[in-house]
Amino acid sequence: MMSSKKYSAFSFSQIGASHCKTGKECQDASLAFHGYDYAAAIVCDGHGGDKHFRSGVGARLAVEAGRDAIQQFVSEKRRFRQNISEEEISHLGKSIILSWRMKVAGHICENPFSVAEQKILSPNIPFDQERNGLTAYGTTFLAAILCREYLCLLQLGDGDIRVFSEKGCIVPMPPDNRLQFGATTSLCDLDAYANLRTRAINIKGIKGCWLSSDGIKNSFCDEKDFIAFIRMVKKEYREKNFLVFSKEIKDFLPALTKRGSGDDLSIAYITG
Amino acid sequence: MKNVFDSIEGIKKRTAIVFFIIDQSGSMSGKKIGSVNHAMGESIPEMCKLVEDNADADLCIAVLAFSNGAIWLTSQPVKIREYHWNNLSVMGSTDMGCAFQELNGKLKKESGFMKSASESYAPAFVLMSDGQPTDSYKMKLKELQKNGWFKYGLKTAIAIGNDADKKMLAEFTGNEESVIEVHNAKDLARVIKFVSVASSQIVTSASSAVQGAADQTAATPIVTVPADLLSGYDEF
Repeated sequence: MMSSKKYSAFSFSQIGASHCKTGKECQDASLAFHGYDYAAAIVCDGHGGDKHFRSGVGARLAVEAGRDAIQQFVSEKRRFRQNISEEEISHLGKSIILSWRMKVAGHICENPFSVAEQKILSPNIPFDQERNGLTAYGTTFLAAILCREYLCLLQLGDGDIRVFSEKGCIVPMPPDNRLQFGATTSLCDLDAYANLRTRAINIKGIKGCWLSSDGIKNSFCDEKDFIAFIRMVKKEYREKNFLVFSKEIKDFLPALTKRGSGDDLSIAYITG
Repeated sequence: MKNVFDSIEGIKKRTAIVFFIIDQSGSMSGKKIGSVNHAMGESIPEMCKLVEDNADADLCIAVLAFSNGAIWLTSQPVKIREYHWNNLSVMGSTDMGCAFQELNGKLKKESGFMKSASESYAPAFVLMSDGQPTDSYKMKLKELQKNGWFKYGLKTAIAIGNDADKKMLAEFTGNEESVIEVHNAKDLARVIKFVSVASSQIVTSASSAVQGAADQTAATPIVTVPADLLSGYDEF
């Protein structure tokens, strides 16, 4: 976390209690960053199922792809002093998906799939790296950018975005009925472009934006308890020295995954 | 120093449900129902142990038996540690369509069995049968297959003996790989225990999210029975 005069951001990821028990790596990745005129955060949750055996790498590559594309996006907006349109957010999302696919292709080149891995990815038909390879790296992608007059949001797959304004807490993305019963859309979907959801919200009255992987919300009884947790995190972040806040969160998240969902946890917040 | 976040309230483990749908028609008499009763009785403590030792979720069980009609042996999903198996007796026909209709009726958040289930995690279904459906099941199975909890659930069927309708059981599971054939009492008991515990393990795992929601091809994991678990000799 760093702070400039106006914008600030933080993110934390914690390996899930169940992954600790089974010796798996953390399949979540997150990043928060900001400059003098923007703040951004990214949360990615690798799927972790049998076919998604490289999803921890997939999540980290998605964070990298998001960071590079967002920094370039902000830089262009700064240079040309342009406003932001919904269409541009959608275009940014598409460039992130493309960049992630290229990064995954590069990772596969350096770490080819074994015959056994190919069989897991494609048990019934001949393995096609372009079609089946992405599955191993499957991950969700959430991002929020506070830039110029807008809060820009991108979401592909499950996880939660909450916007805090003077009027209270808003769920900015319309409900997606596909994100239930344990199923999610993904960066590894062949039609990921079509499944990407984006929004640009005028920044007036907005205090900040929260992102978290589904392991956080799944650790709470209901939305009310989930929001109460977010509000407490925001309050501590606002009122405490960052090192103290950071230590408290880092100490608490392992207890939350143990008592709650058992899943990997990621949280991120931007304000400005 | 006290961590301020320790005072956070409302943290909970989610609930996962394993549904058993069991044929108790007349043809299940003798060693078949005996094995089912024996294996179910032994599976419950093993499922309990799994939850106590490892699981990321609370595990509940719901049991639906069918013969002349279908009847729930659990009026609501019951926490596995509070459940005791009561032996089934056999009689009548194989009204599997009726069982599918009954199951579909309870796979609802508002009025059914899914009130306490986490929306993020699908349940498991284990169907056991030794014969052909005696009622018209096709439309009722089609309706069931439209239900999201069922669609994305972990489905396994145990085909008991040569007369079991394996094609129909594969329609239920969505693939042939999830239909396990057994031909003797010992194998049946072993398979029931294995599938019960493996299904519980999968649905209570924190990493059970599957990709494919976009095109509705989300591939839930399959319970694969190790080849050396089955002796394979024909007794039924």
